[in-house]
Amino acid sequence: MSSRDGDTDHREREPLWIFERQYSRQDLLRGATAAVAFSGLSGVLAACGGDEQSASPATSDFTPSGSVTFWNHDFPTYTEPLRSLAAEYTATYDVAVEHTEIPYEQFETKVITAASGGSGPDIYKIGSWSFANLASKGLIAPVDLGAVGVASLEDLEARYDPGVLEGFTYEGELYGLPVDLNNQLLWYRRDLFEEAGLDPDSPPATWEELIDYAAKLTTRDSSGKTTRAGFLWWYGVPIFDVLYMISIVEAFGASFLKDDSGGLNTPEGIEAIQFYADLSLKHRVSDPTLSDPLGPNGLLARGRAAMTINGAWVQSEVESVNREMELGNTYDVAPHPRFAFEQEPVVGGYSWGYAVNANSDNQQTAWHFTNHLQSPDAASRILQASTFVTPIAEWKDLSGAENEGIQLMADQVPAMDYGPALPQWNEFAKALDDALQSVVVGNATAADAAERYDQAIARAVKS
Amino acid sequence: MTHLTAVRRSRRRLAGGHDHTPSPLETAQRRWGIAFAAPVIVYLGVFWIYPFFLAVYYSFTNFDLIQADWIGASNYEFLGEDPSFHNSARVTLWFVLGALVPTTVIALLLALPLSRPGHSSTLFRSLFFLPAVLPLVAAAILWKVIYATDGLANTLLAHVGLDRIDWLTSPGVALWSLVIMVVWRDLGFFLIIFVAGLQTIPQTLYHAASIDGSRHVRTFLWVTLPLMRRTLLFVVVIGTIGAMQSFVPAYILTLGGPAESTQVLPLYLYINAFQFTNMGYASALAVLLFVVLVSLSLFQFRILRTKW
Repeated sequence: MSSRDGDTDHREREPLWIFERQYSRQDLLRGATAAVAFSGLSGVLAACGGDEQSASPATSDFTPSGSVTFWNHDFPTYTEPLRSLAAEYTATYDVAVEHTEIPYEQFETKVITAASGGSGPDIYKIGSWSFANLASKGLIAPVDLGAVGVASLEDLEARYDPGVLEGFTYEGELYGLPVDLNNQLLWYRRDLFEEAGLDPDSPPATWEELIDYAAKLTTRDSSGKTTRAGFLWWYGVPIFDVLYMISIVEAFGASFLKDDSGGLNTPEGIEAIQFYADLSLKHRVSDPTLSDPLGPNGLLARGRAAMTINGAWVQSEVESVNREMELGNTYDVAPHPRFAFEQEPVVGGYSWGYAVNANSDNQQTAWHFTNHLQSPDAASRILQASTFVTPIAEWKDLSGAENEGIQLMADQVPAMDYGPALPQWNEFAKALDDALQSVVVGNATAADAAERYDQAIARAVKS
Repeated sequence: MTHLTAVRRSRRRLAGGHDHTPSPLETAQRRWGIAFAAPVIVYLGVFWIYPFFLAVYYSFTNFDLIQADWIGASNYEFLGEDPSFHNSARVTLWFVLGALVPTTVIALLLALPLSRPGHSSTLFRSLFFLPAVLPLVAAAILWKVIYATDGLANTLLAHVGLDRIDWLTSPGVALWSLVIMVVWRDLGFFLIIFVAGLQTIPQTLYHAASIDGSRHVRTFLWVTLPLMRRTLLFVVVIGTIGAMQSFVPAYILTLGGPAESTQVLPLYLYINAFQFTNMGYASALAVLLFVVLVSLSLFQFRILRTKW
């Protein structure tokens, strides 16, 4: 998830690819006709529908019409293939696709306020962590199986890697289709490894090894300040705290949640928090005082950090900061470290997904267009342009998947865990971040932090 | 009726005279006055007054952008128990003091020489005002780069042989880093206001003080400062309101961290409203902020009261 600014070159326009809201009369008339027809059709369908995932007529009976609007957060290398795919959809089905990019920092706020106000686009690209919240409020619509060309949920699940759709499921109903898949990898500087006398072809496989390597890689100035951290967390960003702690909490046998409250105020949970904090407090191989506008990715690129953990999208960021960064040469990627005592390690992961606005009056076409973005051809083009992995079943065989980082990510998919899916996800992530940071800066012990976390979760669930 | 007659009638009426019949001129003036004021009144009503009362209502509910059930004063009761709110209140108090006092003092002291006519005064006034022209978000992003470990600030420190400062990542320093940014941005604006105020002070008073043997400090304390009370009041009031409502620096530079050490009240309000969708509690925070600001403003008016 990059925070870089979006692509601002909107001058080139494909037919019916609209950035400004300029519709022809025919478009409006067509859209209005489709909306009226759809309203009648959906009324009939609603009368026929039961409690199961919606099953409208199969794709062969469904013709998309009208227009769809689509919001996603800015990421330039993703926008380019998206535009061409949208243009092809328009040319094939005569459906206008209006696309808006929104800066990442504003994106969630804009989505929640638009959705709750009954406006917003037909399709959102949102994080897997947001699906439970929006679904619980009835702001997004369940996946229309017919519009995406399947007869059952099982058929749809078979199209993707196992478990991938869990991140978009709330209370047994599927609300989204995946844009991409990300799990955590270890990124490291090969040149700094060599400098420290470490073998760059043997990166640490366990947390114990990582601490040992990081100690050799960490350097300090005469006053004792860290000049290079052997390893660096991305401190103070709640979603990354969740991704890190998914594997650590699982390894120590703790749990984020327990009944309707937090579950970290246990010996295991306290140990997990302490482990996170000890990388800076006890082992002194990580340093929260180092800062860069791009976080640890920027510090890795500048040589201020020798190792960090993040998704495959790190590549585009580090190479944009430092042109000398070359995967396999200056820096490299390795599997997420596990604990030596772990039997079945898990790896934190997340996805971005397409969701359809529950207030959209063209939901079927919206799902149909979303499905268009899930084809092997679309997945391959997106993968080659942006390293985004659309986790369809055959993605590992697609052109572009031979990238080393992506292959490692593929190997980790069976161990991937999205963490808790709850409507109060933001409160959970903030409570976890507050707990971790309070220990790291020395304001609290791990036990105090765990207690405060549990209380915060209990309040969030209760409210 | 002549215009003069109509004016006399309206004056008599204003003075408590017995002529209660409005003249055609008065009636026309009233109608035109209402017509011209109507758009602004409607705008204020729709975008200020109505949302304010709506926020007060929501503060007594559990509104989550979907539904709002009445829960009485529960949100306000929770304010007393919420450790994050207590922390935000403390942080905001320090932030306001840290931003307001130096900005006001430095701006006033700079305004003294820069209020004198001359090309150099105009040039320096323009230079100081430039940061105020920069969009706040752009300024915040700029300072985020300046404050980075390898940013301009630490580079300059290294050049003079000083150690690196953890501007945004040390809990004891981060808030003051935000204060520096805010002072840099607001200084020019306060300076212009003070210059305007100083230029209204008759020079004859300074001449008289000089003849009486008053030196610079005494002249400043006994001539300049008393005559600047109105200007000072205005600056302090709007400065306090601006600092208490400051959101962008904390949001862009630190997101309230490290460890909530820069989580000012507006940011905490935003988190509750738009991340937690806890609109009811956020509304209670907003109402509380409003009450505090009004109280502070009234207090400041009282302290710096002048005859109007």
